[in-house]
Amino acid sequence: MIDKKRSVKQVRGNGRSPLMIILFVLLIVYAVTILLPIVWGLFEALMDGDKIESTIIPWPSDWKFDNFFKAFGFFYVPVESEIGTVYPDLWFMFGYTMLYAVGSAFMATFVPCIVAYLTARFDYFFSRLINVFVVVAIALPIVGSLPSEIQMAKTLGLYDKFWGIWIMKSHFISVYYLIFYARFKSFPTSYEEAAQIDGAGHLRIFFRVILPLVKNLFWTVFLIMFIAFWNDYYTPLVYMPTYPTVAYGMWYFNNSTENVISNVPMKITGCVLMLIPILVLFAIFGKRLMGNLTEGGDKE
Amino acid sequence: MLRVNFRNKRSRKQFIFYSLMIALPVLQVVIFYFGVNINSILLAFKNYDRDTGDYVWTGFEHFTKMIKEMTTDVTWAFAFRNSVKVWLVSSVVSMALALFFSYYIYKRGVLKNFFRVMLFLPSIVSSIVMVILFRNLVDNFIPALVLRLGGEEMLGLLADHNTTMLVLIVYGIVMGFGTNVLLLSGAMSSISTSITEAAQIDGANRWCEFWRIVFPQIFPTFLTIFIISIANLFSNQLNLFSFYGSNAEAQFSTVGYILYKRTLSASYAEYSDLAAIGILLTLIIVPITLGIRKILEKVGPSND
Repeated sequence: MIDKKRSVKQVRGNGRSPLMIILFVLLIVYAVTILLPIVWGLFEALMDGDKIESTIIPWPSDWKFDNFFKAFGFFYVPVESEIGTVYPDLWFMFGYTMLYAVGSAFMATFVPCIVAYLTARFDYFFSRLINVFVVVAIALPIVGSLPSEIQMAKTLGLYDKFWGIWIMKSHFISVYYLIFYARFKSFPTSYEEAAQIDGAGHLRIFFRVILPLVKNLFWTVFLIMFIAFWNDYYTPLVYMPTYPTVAYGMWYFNNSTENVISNVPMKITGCVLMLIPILVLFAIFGKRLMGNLTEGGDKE
Repeated sequence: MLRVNFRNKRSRKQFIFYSLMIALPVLQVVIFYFGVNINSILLAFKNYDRDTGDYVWTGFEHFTKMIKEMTTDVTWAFAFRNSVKVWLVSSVVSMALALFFSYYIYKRGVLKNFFRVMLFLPSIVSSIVMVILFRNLVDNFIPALVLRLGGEEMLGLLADHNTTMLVLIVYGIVMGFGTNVLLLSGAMSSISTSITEAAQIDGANRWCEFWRIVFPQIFPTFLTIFIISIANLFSNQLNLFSFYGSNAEAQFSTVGYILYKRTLSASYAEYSDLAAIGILLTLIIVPITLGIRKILEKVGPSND
């Protein structure tokens, strides 16, 4: 009894071990490094960019909420088109971003999911081959294939088209293929067998029986991919120059030499405009986004 | 393993379903993985003819040209040095911190949920937004703070060339924890609690528990993340494009940054040079990756 009490005491005492205290301090420093620029930026966004207010804590003497309207007005990217140079504004960019991010995220989730289902549940030689190939392709670094990819996209008519980028993003060489594969592999065959006895075909089994079992994982991967594509400005810059997304617009806005927006508060106001939708999404789906991708929590 | 029995209707139907469903994804990979990479190899041996608009064979011309450029141009010397430096620092410091932070979350330390959100936050905020906010902090806030605390007037940490590289590396580390912590803490949560409880009852402290039990158990996950980080050696841009666009100074360049910047502005004629660089770098990085993987698999801890 005494031994057991001592053991419990020892276990509890470890919670305040030197390692945990050092980690706590490091994490506090880390959190400050992350939060400070964001919070400071939020105040800076409301300052008057025309006046130089030299303060450590940027508490605006005159709250400039119209900075947001100004930034909104100057959030554009010049695009060369057949009718000359056009200037899509933030509304257009939101539209383009939704098309790019939703379409690409769906394809980049659905394709690994369906290929993982096929390779995990149908034990053909080709399934094993694909599984080995994905593991090798993820670990094998290939550098500098971007020029070839651009050339390929132009040759196949996929360049500067939404459906083109969706096709290019719909590959299964991804870590998420391996996560889906592990999940499908863990299901007993009785699921399909029961459905087959009830007369369901393979397609129906996949959409009606299997997909609902992994719906939580599916939407988590979709959200992660959606956020990645929402924030991605490299791909639109390279592959969709005439359809600027919000991230592309932000990159352009940041490098703009236009007088009205070349001061720090206006640049940060632009950032806040881009941040708001993602922070709202995070507030709603944060738990799901940070959930454990590898645990089996879908069997509801 | 399944065999296709074409006389059996069920087996035949199953095979047809499988083939139809997998055909398009496989075709995509054939075009955009094999096709792109084979095209990249072929491109490196060709020259773009401006008059006809066709590519013609030129042998190893681009390779010799690029080897000469990479061994004589000072920008490449900076780029290689910086890429290796960034990789070494991020693989040692960043991976170690990611491991320990994941352990803190796994052991449900104080404010665990708050730290989890903080570690994940940079992954959801656009890199361009984080860059603008961070630059504002190091170039405006810190000099103002130092001045207010009685220090001397100073340049911003990014503006000052003596500290630029350090700030860029620290930024890369701070922003890169999210996914690694998510994967590592996920792997830790699957360790049976009976093992760690038994170790604690036997008197193991947190340090001992981490090295003797937790780390060996999650070593496969750690190895995968580490190998992916090696593969990143020549593609890591150190966020330079977000910080400086195409105008980063040569002394801060990385190989990934040069490749991306040159590709963005490349004409058809320059694609061949870039393809040759890509092949040369791949030839360097593949044996390094496979070699380190082999060594780590041999010397790494066993979870038995």
